[in-house]
Parts: sequence; structure tokens; C-alpha cells
Amino acid sequence: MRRNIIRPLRMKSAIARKMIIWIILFSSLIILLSTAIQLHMDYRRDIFLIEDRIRQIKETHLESIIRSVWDTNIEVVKIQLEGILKLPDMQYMEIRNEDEHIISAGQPGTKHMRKYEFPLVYVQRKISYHLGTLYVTASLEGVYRRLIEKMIVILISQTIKTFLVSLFIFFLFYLLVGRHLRVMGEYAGKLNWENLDSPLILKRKGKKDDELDALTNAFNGMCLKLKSAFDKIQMMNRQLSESNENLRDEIREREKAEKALQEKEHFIRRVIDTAPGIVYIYDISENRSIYSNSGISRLLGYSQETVRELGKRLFPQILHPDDFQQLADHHHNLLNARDGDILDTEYRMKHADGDWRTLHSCDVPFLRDDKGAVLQIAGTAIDITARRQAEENIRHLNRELTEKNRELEQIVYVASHDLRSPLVNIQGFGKELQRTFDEMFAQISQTRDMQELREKTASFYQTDIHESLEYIFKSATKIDMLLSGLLRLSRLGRAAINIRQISMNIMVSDILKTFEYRIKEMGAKVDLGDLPDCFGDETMLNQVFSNLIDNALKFSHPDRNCIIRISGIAKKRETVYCVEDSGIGIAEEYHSRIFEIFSRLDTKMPGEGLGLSIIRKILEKHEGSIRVESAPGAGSRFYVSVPGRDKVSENGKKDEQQLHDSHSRR
Amino acid sequence: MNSNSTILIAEDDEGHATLIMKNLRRAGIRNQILLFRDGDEILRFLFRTSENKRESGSSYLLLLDIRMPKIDGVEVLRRIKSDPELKKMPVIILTTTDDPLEVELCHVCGCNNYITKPVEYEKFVQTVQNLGAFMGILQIPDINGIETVCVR
Repeated sequence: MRRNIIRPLRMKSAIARKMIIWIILFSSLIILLSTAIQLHMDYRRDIFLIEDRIRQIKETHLESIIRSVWDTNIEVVKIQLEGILKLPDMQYMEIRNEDEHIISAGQPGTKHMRKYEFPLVYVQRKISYHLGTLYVTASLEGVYRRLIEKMIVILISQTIKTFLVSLFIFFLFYLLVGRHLRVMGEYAGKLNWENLDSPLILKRKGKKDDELDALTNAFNGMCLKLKSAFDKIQMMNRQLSESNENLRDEIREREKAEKALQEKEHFIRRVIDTAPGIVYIYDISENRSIYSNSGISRLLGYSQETVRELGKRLFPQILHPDDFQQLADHHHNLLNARDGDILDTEYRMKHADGDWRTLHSCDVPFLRDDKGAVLQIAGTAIDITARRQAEENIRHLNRELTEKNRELEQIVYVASHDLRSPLVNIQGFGKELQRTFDEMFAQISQTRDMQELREKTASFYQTDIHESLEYIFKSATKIDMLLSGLLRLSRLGRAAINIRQISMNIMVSDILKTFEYRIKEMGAKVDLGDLPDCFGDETMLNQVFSNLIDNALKFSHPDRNCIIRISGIAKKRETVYCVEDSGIGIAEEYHSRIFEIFSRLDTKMPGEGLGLSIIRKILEKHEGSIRVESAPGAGSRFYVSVPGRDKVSENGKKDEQQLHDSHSRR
Repeated sequence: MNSNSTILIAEDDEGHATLIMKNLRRAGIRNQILLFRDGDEILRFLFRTSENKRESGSSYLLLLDIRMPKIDGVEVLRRIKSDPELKKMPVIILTTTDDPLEVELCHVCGCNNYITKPVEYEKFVQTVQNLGAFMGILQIPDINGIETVCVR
């Protein structure tokens, strides 16, 4: 702003300076020009005067000089020449004849000269005599001196005049224009949009109505216009800033809304992505996955890129071949589904790790064509493999329970039968005894003879009484045996199993030692192979092999030498032993019955029908198994399977897990 | 009772067999009585696969125990009743339980009577006598080719 104020002042002085310079320059030029013209004219007049004098000399003096020369009157000539010399501007006179100097007057000058020559010819009797030549030299110095003097006078006077005039003009200009300009400049310098309406007033007297007034009026008019324009601009500015503020508010609102929208979108995306199952859009008309959340990576191990890349090949590649038709039917049903219908299905998919996962999908129509047929479906799928597995486990356990139940019923049934059997005998023979005694007493009471009495009593005793008592005692013993057998089995069921590595070679050798006497007695031959170690309860497995060897000896063939062969093989998940005999063998129809409790194929043979039941029970507890290969007369092979190391450690972990689970449930 | 008729007893328990026989004799039944130790023996007799085999022209009444070694009574009954010739033979089941399921099973298989041990021998003998008398009245010379007699 300061600069703006200063600049007009400077400009003003610059204008004055420029004006003075121009006036001086211009008037100097005029002076020079007019001086040059005047000097030129003076010079010409002087030269004309000199020539006029030369002409006078020629006209007035030349005749007399010729006569004087003719008369050879040198003195006169000299006087004459000096007389001429007295004329203004004459410098030098000389008369020469050929190159012979005759006479001269004055000083020959060196510069600014004008030379004239007149031949001196004397005419006598029409004869011309050349007497010589008169050289007149006029000096121009006087001319020049005068010219210079004049020039100086003119220049000085003109310069003074010019200066004065210039000064005057400058003063005049200042008085009339300059100061007003300065006022205007200052006014303009101080001018801003606030004082635009205070008019410019010049301090001038009287009413002039000249250019300055016009300028002032125009200026004031302009100011007023500016003012109104300014006001307008200001108003517009205010409006602009208001609308700007509004715009900013609007932008802020919009940004807020956008952020909220983004947050909402992010939230929704997170909801979809963190949904526990697979959320997907599937095109059933093109058989193509349109969208799926990251659940597919979680559940099936495939990246979303892979899913997108596979596209149509997704289902054929990872769907279980057996579930194709079912899924096709499901999609077909969806084609005609109404809005709001939820159709569900189950199918198996191959996980990226190669395992099958069972998925449960709920689908709804998502996009329809013009005719209303469903093109795309939206659905969620969850992994129900664990549930299916659990259900399968439950089914398996149920089957096992049913089996156990059946077995228990069988035991109860068998026990009730077999336990009642001796009771029936006791009751029956008890009654028989009563009847015998009744009869005996009846007969005795009628007998008087002692001898006869004794004989009758003895007869009763030896036949009926003894028999009945024998049956009663036998039955009581049998009940006792059965009960102790049941007790043994039940105790076995409750006994804790203590699994450790067993050296089977040592164990079986020890068992054989206990049978040593019977083996020797029967002349039996035992072929004991190298047996792999196994994991199990030593006492229980000892019982298993004792029973098997006992059976092999007991059911030996009457016509054949008894040969017992014991072998074993360790597999990855189980260790299998075989006890083979050359005995009587068992018909196939009895193969399952022989393991039942109290089951005896031959009642004449000693035993209680528990040996194989106990073996089976023990192996059940080991999660192993026993089976038989046999035919009548062809010997028998009993295969004992005990879980191998891998399976044992697996089950151990499972047990631990179950233990842990039950603890944490508590 | 037809003296040609033979009473067959399939019973693995010696004591039971003795008691049955004593009571039958005591009741005055003088028919021939044959005793079999298990299901296999009686089946071999009936189906004539052993040396001791049934004869044509004789009628038989079978007293059958359920729980026997090798082949049990229910199986024996099933095989008898699925044979067109043997199925007319009256069979009385003698057993130690009164398990309704088992009773039902035996009746379905076609037994003529079901008696639970311990035997009320009076009742038991009465049943045998009634059934035997019924068979005797019908004058069955052979069990071949005659209509089924069903006493329930």
C-alpha cells in the first residue's frame, strides 16, 4: 500500500523533470537552429561586403595602380596598396610579375583567407602590356570573430530566456496541474474500499469546469461506481463465503456419511466374513460360484482366489461323487422356490487337506430372470462333520450298547436257566426225598421185625435216598460253581486294566511250564514260535493263553497225537497270535456259541463253560478280538488280536482327552 | 395211552431227566421212554442220521428242554415244525424260565404245551396224560400223513 502511495508522487516529479528536459532540449534546438540561420546570414552578408570591397578595389583602385606600375612609380604603388589595405578585412597585397615579387603590403596571413588576383594590363595604342598580377588577400578572421561574438550573445540570451520560460512553465504547470495531481495521488493513495464515498475535492478557486474538474468528477464518479461495485463484490463475497461455509459443512457431512457408510460396509463385510460358516452366492443356471466369504477358506482350506479360478469346476472337483445327484436335485428344487423358502441339503466336500467334510447348506432364491425362475441362490453352509462324526459315534456306541445289552440279557437268560437248573433238581429231589421218607415211614410203621426193618431202611437208602441226596449235593455244588464263575466274570468286567509291554515269549513259556505235567502225560507236542511283544494287561493275557492252551489239551483228538502250535505276528495296528491245535475241532454252526457264557458243547467234558467267555471279555477290555477257524476233526485255530503300539497310544490319548473333558465339565 | 407211543425226553441235565421219568412212571405211564442228552442227539434220532433212530409206525411225544448244549430246544422245535412229517408230533416244552418272550417264541414255533420247571409234577403228569390220551384216542399208528393235532 505504501508503494502505491509513493509511486504517483515520483511519477509527478518525473513528469516535471521530463517536461523540463524536453522543453530545454526543444528550445535549445530551436535556439541552435535560429542562431545558425542568423549566423549564416551574417556570414553571407560579410562575405558579400568583402566581395563588394574587392569590386570597389577593382573599379576604383586598379586603374591607378596599373598606371603607377606602368610608371614604375613604386612609391605611389605602395601608397596605393596601403590605402587599399586600410579597407576593412584587407590583409595582404602583393604584386608579382611572373614569379618575381615586385611589391607587397601588409602581412601575409596563414588561415581564414580569401585570395583574389587581378592581372595588371596596360593598354596603349591598342597594345596590351602585361605588367604583372595583383594578389589581394582578404582575411576572414574579422568575419569569424564577429560571428562568434554574435553567437555567444545570442546563445546566452536565448539560454536565459529559455530557462526562465521553462521555470515559469514549470511553476505554471505545478500551480495548475501538478499540485492537484499530487492531491489526487495522495487521495488515490489513501483510497480504500472504506472511504471510497468521501469525494475528491481540489482546492481551487472559482468555478472552472475544466479538464481537472472533469477528471475529478470522473474520478469521484468512478469511486462511487467502485464503491457500489465494491459493495456488490463484498456482498457477493459474503454470499460466497456463506455458501463456501455451507459447502464445507456439506462436504463434512458427506465425509461423515461416507465414513459411516464405509464403517457400515466394513461392519457388514466383517459380519459376513466372520460368520462361522460359508456365506455364498451361487449361480445355479451356470453352475458357478459368484461370491463366497472367507468361510470357504476356513472350512475347506481353499483361498477365495482358488474358488474364483475354479468357477464351474469347483463343485465337480471337490464335491463327493456320490452327492452329485442329490445336489443337482437340490438346485433343481431351488429353481422353482418361492421367496422366503429355505431349502437345505447336506453334501460332502473335499477339504484342501484331502479329507471329506460334511456340509449343511441352507439356500434361498437370490436372483431371478424375467420369467421368475431362480438364477442365483444365496446360502450359508456350515461344517457338520464333527456333528455327523459325533452322531456316527453315538450310533456306534448305541450299537455297542445294544450289543452289550443283548449280551447282558443273554447272561441273565443263561444264568437264570443254568442257575435254576440245579435248583429244580434240589426242589425235585427234595420232594422225592420227602416222598421216599413218607413211604419209608409208612412201611416201617407196619414192620415189627427188626431185621426186616433194617433191610427195608437200607433198601430205601441205597436206592432212592442216596440218589436224591447225591443229586441235591451235586446241584448245590453246581450252583456254587456257576455263581463263582459269574462272580469271576463280573469281577473281570470291573477289574482295572493295566497295559504295559509284555514279553510274550517269556509269558507263554511260563504258562507252558504250568501245563508241563499234563503235556508230558498226554505226550503232546508244543511248537512255540518266536512271539512278538505286545501291549496289554499281563495277568489277563496270561489267563487268555492259559485257557486256550488248556482247551487245546482238553479237546485233543482221541486218535491223534496232540500238537499245539503257537505263533504271532506284529502288524502296524494290531498284534495277532494264533494258538493252533490238532484236536477234535468245532463245527462252524457253533463258532459263535462257544464264546457265550456257560456254553458247553459237550456236557460230559469237565468245565463250566466260561473259559472262552472269559477270553472274549478280556480281549474286549483290550479292544482286541478273538476268532476261531475250525472244522470237526480238523483241529482249531484261535486267533487273538491285541491292539498294536500305534493304536494303544491313540486310545491312550483318547482316554486322556475323555478324562480331561469330564474334568472340565465338572 | 397207545402203547406203541414212545416218550422222547431231550434233557441235558441228568437230574431233571431222572425226575421226569420217575414221575411219569409213578403216574402209571408205562410207555417206552427214550432219553437224549442234547439237541443234536434228538435231531439225529428224529431225522434218522444216527444208529439210534425212530421207527415208522410208532408215535412219539417229545418232552423238550430249551437250554441244551450244541443245539438248543428252540432250534430243535423249529426244525421239527419245519419238517412236514415231524411237525405233527406233539411237543411239550420243559424249561426253567417262564420268560414270556421265550414262551411266545415256543408257541409261535408250534409247541403243544409249555411247562416251567421246577415241575409241579402233578400238573406235569396230568398234561402228559391228557395229551397222550388225546393222541391215543385218535389212534395214530404213525405220525406220518395225519392232520396236525393242536392242543393248547
